[in-house]
Amino acid sequence: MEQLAPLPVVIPLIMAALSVLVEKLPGKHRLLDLLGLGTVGTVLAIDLKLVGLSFEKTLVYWFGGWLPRNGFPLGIAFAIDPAAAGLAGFAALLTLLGLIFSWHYFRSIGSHYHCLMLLFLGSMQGFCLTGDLFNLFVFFELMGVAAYALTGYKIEDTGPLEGALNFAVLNSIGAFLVLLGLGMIYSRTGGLNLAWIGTQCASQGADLTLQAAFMLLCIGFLVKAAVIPFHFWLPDAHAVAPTPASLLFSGIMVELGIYAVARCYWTLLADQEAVSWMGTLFLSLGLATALLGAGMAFVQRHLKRLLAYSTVSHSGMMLAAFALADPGALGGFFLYLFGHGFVKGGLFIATGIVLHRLKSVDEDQLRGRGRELWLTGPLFCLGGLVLAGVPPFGTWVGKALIEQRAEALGYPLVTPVLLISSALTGAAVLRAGLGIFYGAGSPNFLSACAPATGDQELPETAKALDRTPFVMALPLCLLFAAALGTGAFEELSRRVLLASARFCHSEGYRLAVLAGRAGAVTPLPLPQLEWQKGLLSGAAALAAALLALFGLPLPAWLQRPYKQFFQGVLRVLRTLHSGYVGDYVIWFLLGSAALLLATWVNSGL
Amino acid sequence: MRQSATRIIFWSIAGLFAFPLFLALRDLPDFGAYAGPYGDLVLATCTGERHTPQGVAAVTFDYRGFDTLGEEFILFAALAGALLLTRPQEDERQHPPRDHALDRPVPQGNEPIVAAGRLMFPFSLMLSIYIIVHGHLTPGGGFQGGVLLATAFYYVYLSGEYQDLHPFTSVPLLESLKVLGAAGFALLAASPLAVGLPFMTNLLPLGREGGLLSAGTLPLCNLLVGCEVGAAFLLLIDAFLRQVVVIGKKKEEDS
Repeated sequence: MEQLAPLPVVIPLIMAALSVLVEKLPGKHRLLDLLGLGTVGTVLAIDLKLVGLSFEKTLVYWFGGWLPRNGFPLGIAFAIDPAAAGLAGFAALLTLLGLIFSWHYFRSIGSHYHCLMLLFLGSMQGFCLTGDLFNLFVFFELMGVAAYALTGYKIEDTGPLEGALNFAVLNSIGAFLVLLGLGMIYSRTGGLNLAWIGTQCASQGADLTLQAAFMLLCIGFLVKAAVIPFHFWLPDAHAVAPTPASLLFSGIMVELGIYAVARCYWTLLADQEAVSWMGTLFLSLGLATALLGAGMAFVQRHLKRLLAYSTVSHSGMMLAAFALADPGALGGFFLYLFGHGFVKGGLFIATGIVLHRLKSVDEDQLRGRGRELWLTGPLFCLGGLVLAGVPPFGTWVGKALIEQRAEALGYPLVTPVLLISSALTGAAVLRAGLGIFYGAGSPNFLSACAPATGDQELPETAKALDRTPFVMALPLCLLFAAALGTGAFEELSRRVLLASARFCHSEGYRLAVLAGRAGAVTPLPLPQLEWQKGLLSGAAALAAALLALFGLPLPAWLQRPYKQFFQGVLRVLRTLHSGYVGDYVIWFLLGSAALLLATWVNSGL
Repeated sequence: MRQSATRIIFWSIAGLFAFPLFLALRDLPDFGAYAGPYGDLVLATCTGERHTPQGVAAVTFDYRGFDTLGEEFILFAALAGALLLTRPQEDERQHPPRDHALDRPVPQGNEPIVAAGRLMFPFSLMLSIYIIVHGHLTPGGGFQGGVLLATAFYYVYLSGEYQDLHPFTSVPLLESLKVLGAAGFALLAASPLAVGLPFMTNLLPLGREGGLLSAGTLPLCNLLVGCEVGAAFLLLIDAFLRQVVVIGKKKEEDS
């Protein structure tokens, strides 16, 4: 059954190439949609099969039949453990739902849209499944190129072009650093297979060169993960991409950046004492990103920008979960990834429906105009609560697991920061939802002055309908059901914990790839999770949303200083997010310099 | 003011970045001190097992052929993106092609340049085909040859007019060639799956080492990649030229 391994990559690539020819045929719309859906469905089915197989034993597939010679991996290997297969399947599922959403409603469909979506899917599959560092880089690049093109899809407007340009410039610089780090690692270890490099690092010891090389890899991947100060491209890009692309960007692409860091960490360096300092560094980066992203999300009125900043925030939380360097916390990371991906995807789809029906994505302009959307409205508001992490949704299970492990490992600060940032992102969505769909409250002084309003957003669909098409409502409902299912099924959480235990077992991974042997691991038993914190977070989100809608009941003499304080903070934040790609590059360089200097200082200890 | 300040900030931070990087790079092996084992193993096996004297081609299309498949599709995606961004818009309309430069009159035909173009075109074409079909024997191959192939046609435009290039840039033909190159390579790589062998296994006879038809699938891979790369670069120049020479904004035209 290992012959299935290359198919999730190869099938979409071939179909993407052929779809260019199909575009020339008459009646192409329906045909392209069917081709796309059929391809993605097949990939999803194969991925699910791979998940099942990988739980028995890590699947190792050598391309070209180049098996290791004298223990040295000559060829490229896919090393498929449950986490890799699971993420690949998740990516395929989100792509499927995105394509259902765009089912022959999409404007100027046929301009390489399906081709790019399939290339994007194929690259994500390869990125998840590969066990080779250079191959990881190749798919990182392919994923980037497809994503830049999708971002600039609506060429009639200037925003998408600027967003795509910022995205392409920052991610390309990140990719250069990945290549640099990769070259350093290759020159020291002589191989490109992750398992091989890991054994070499273990015998050479992680000195400054190897640590710096690893840090360069991390910087490149963290650009994709939109961690501060590398996050500036994300809101510019996610806010302007077509809805199905935004769904994929926020739901899985950003998170794959953290997945790559985690994969490299556990295969290359995890068993080295010398790199334990990195945990603290990534933890602080993650928590800072979570807070900044949440703050920025709260002060937006452009719905897609709001959701994009909330992705920054949640990506930071997930980085913090990885930084705990613990199998249990990593299990929480994966569960959070699924839960967040589903609900964020649902929120983007809901925004797409709002744009389709009401021709705008501006919170203040739309206030009270969404009363007819009887399905989208409640689900959108529910999405706010789910982002805040109310039980029993997937975000709650993931967050509770992360918080529990953080406290057990002696990081008491994680819980309150996660509570504040998730509640704040949830509050932003709730505020927008209650305003748009129920006409509650009035524009608040924080978000009403946001420079990007979203009332000029170009429609994606050819004609407005007075009802929501079934193909748009279906993925919306499915995504929310999946977010619920992620949290509600305990068996899934147990499986994820087993998968993350396998993921973190560096020795077992290397044995499986290089010697074809399976190592046994014992997963963390699923602990009893506290639902009170989830409810508290939801209540905090609701309270903050109501506060923003109806204002704080302060005495008049306190109103002014209170407003002035927040407006001052806001002015600083907005100045930093200038939109100039040159400024972003300077921030990028500053972050990279700081991380490399930290590596230098700590590697001498 | 802002510009010079930005520049100072940029270079001082770049120094902060370069300093630890420089320290880290000091511990790399010395220039030329190759410790192996990858290259040694490839060179030890590529002649015996693949009948090719060209280790680079063997790595590109065989040992690490799967990377090359990914790279080929990066080009494919980049081209799809470029065509997407340059697609005709609703407020644009086409006019008869006319060369124009912003700041000076367009020079009329110049005989020495036309002669140079006529000279370079066949040579570049020949060289590109040589480089593509000998990719498994000498340095070069489909990527390099494909770029040269397109360059041959660039000479036609450079030494002549847009209309001279036009007959060579039939979009349906080039798109079919591009798809043939990309999908053909992927299908060729996938064909061993049908007989239960791993992806990218060589199924063709290896032939006599050094022969034009040797090294199994390597020449075929080069041919397909050359096909895609050549077509892609021609499509690209066509799309870019079209933006300048043929398409104008509606309002611009009316005024």
